[in-house]
Amino acid sequence: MTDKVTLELLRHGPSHNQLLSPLTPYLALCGNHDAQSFQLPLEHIEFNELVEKLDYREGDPAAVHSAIERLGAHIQRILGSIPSLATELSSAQHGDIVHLRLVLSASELAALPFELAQTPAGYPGEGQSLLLSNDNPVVLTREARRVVPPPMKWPTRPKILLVAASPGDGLPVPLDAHVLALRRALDPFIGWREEPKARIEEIKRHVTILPRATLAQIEEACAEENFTHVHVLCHGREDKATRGRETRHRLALHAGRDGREIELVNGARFEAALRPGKKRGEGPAVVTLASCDSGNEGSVIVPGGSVAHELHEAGIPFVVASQFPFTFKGSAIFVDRLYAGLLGGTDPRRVVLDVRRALFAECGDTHDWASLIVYASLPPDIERQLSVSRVARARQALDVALKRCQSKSYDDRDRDQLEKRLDHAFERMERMAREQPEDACALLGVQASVALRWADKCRAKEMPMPGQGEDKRGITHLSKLQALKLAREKYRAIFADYPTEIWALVQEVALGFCLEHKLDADGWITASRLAHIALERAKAHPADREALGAAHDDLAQLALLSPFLPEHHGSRRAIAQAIGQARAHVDAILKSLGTGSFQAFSTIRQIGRMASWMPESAHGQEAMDKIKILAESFRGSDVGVPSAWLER
Amino acid sequence: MPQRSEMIRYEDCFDELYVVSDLHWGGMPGRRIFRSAVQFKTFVEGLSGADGKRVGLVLNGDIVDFLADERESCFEPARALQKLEEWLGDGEEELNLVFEALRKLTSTPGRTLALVLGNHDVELAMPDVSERFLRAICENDAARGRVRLALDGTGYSCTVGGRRVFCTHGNDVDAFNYVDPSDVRRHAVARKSGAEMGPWTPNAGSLLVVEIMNAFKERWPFVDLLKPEVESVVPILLSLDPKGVGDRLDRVAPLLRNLVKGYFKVEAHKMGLLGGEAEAEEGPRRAPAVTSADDVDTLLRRAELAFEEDRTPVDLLTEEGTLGPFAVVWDWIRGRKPRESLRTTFLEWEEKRGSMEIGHEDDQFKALDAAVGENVHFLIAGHTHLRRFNKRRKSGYYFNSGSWIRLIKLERTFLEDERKFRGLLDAIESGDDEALDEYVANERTVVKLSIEGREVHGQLLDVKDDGSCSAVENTLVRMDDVAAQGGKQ
Repeated sequence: MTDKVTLELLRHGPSHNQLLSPLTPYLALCGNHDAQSFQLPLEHIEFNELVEKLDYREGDPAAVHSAIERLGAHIQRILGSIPSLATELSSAQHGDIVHLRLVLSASELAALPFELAQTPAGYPGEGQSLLLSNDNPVVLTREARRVVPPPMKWPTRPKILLVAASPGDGLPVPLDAHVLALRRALDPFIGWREEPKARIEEIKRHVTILPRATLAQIEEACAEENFTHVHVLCHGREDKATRGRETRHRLALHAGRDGREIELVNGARFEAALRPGKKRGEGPAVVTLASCDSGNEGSVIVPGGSVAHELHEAGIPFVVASQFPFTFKGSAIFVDRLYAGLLGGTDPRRVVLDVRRALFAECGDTHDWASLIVYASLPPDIERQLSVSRVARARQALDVALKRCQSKSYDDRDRDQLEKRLDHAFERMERMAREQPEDACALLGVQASVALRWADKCRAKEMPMPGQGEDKRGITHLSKLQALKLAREKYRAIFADYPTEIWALVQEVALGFCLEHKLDADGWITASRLAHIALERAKAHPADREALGAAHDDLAQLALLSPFLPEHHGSRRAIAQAIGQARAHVDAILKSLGTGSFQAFSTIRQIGRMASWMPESAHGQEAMDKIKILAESFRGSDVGVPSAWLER
Repeated sequence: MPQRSEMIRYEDCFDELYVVSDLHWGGMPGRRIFRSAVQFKTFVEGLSGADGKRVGLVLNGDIVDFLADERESCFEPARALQKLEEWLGDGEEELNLVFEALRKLTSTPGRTLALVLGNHDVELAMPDVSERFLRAICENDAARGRVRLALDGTGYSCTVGGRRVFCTHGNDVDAFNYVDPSDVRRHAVARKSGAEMGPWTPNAGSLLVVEIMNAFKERWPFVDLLKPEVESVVPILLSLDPKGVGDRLDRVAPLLRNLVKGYFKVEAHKMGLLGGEAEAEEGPRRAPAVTSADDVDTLLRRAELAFEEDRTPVDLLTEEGTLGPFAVVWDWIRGRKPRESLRTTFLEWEEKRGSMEIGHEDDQFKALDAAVGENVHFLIAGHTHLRRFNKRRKSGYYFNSGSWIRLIKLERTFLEDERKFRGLLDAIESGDDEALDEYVANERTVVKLSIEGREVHGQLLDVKDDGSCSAVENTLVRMDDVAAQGGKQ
């Protein structure tokens, strides 16, 4: 859980053309407290002198550390002069992290490295670095005052564009390290392919790389694909070709017909290339800039700002950049940790905190940790969106882990590793179900589904018998029977907490029949009545085709169980009738949702499963045979398994 | 065009040949690095006696130093012309001494003067500049007939006792200081025809001198002693003044770019592609700037391999640096104090420049030895300022004529001695030119080839303060005089 504290710092006049001065009065707004005025404790020249020491040119580490401390102390004094901020921060310590939103209007304030702030008086950890504390974690994001959060959906299926450039002057960039970092972050979500070439093609479905990027290439790539994340790796360069020859920092990209020239690109032009022909709210949600000074405001005299600032103002919701020079090593750690977290579905603010701490710990001889700067304009329902994204990513990871256990590698050599991965993904799902009760229904449903698929695998392969692998924990130590029982428990739990989820009751009844060889008639009747009600309701709302498909799915499965109701005794006639009803429901699904729909795939897969759940009796055998024929009849038609479902 | 064997017949034949190089005449008043005008005059006048011999003097590149002067760019023919006028004026006594000596030489029958282009005097290749220079050293047309201009970047060849001699400055195997002959020719044509000259592509070494070193000469006179201008000069300057030099680092970017170009051109030169500069300039061997899908696959394959080996992104970093223009300013992060960093960078510079030991086989010797034909018996170069005498791999000998300017003496043993090095640093930081005397050698080197009886002798000579010459020990080589033996080698 994240607590938000919003601090807005204002002054009169336009955003530019004002130097830092103790004479200038500013206004601070924090929470519902009264506006408070404050002044800065330093002159612009002192600020410039201190910041200059951070560009690694002085060659004196002691001077750098001293500059960081002095700047941190100045920021502490500024924040300390706003009593309402300390009050808000103190009262906000209930969640996992405190999200401090810093809303700025003035360029000279945006130039201040608030990320160096020492913890103000009255707040736990006084004097320590505010953004490095793990006991009272604070994440600072910046916002421009005039930016309205765009209507956006936090990505659930990331598609990454890696933009790399080292034009003209031959200065290298650590591209291999960054590609590896993305590969590592994507690993839990990449469907396994045995052949390396096929695996690379699979990776390319998730990430597009422009190794010597021009602005035109970026625009073309973004016009063809909807990238959710854009990662930039290039050198930052000073550009004095601005009004009054004031300094701005740009991204150094390739240019010219053959890409041999250099082009210095500002944030506004870069954003235009990232969102060609896109509406507000469309385009990448996250842009990360591994480039020196990409978050450096540069001159405060003329309008404009850093690359990151301009991307933020143009509507990119989440921009991470560097306000000072950024080392190769720091950038490698940055991309590795950042994308592992973001693609894993972790709250991006938590990810930023972790990345900053990692840079502090692992790059002790640099100040990369202080370079990290974040511009964020997130929608009001971001918490909910992040929860949805987290569940989706956990589900995708679990699905991939399961599929890998179904791959050839499982039998060949990597069994332990693959099982560990699946257990880990499954445990994560269980943990999330406890931590995110609002998503428990979906999370339990996924767990039940995975347990069923594990049971399928146990059927297909020789699996550990009960008692084997007892040293292990997790789903992979379960036998087929245990997996089915686990699935049933999950379905039961869902219906207990969410009685409108009829599908959970249907599954619970079906699994009960499978495990106990006796149909729970009361459960069946309840489920059947509810499913019929749902069907009638869905028919009344024909636009909701998914609800119609779900009702037919429930009824098809219930029909296949119906011969085993006490009154039918598994009779041949009842079986024939049941097969007919099931076929009719499946046909309805195919008609309303199409042969390529997930519902069609899921229903037919479930029918195939049910054949194996029939009791070992003469009637059971007959039912099994007929259900198999039914399932096969659909397979023989044009119903296929769309490749997209393999990832769901 | 004559074949190689025919060409020899048209080359100058000498009884004695003297080669000097890297005189570096000129520079800003008060900060001139050539301080041996008197010795030069005495030495040259010694060659001007009427003895009936055929005597040649080769000025083997970097004769004048146009780069050392105040200037705005690396190639300024008009300013070079103006400088020559100034030097030949009344107030330049020292330079007038050398011109006077050369005038005397060219006025002497049986004497030949050859001028070879270097990398600090490229403007000499321009027709008007060379004409002004000729007028300064020749009193009449007869004198002009005794001068050979080898200013097209191809060097100068001649024979001594039937033994072939090839003189080249040496910068054409140095990527940092490579001068593209096609650029020189284009600009010469433009100056003659009055056409637009177009941009000059300076080499990295010239950029370093003009954009960075010249700015620090006044504060640190020792900067002028860091020759030739190799890559490691940059870290030395950075170690001394990271901020000051760092402020000029945006000018280093084209320097690095041109260094890359230089590598291609040197490779082309080594491969005998001097006539195909256009191809070399395009850099066809470089990976295309805009990638193909194959490049991405290669990247991903490497990542896949690293992933399977359980390597981390940090494991893949092959160098340190930052993602900004100050990528080269990195030493201090490794915990070196500025002084310590300077010592290390001096060591790197010394390694790049090569040992001062005369027999040391440096990179320039290796590159020229590989590039120059076996039928050249005496290969003579300059440029490195370090005099050398080496036996060539297959046949013949290599001499480097060193320099006539002051030379910083930094042997590895000296640099590794912290106490001694501290003394040098104090001298450097004092900014006092005189304080450096202890660390500076003032060698005036001459390569002499001469017919001695039925042999051709090669020898390095030292020109002493009084202008007389003495032999440098262990540098004498004897070859048969094949001309005297009817051409039998």
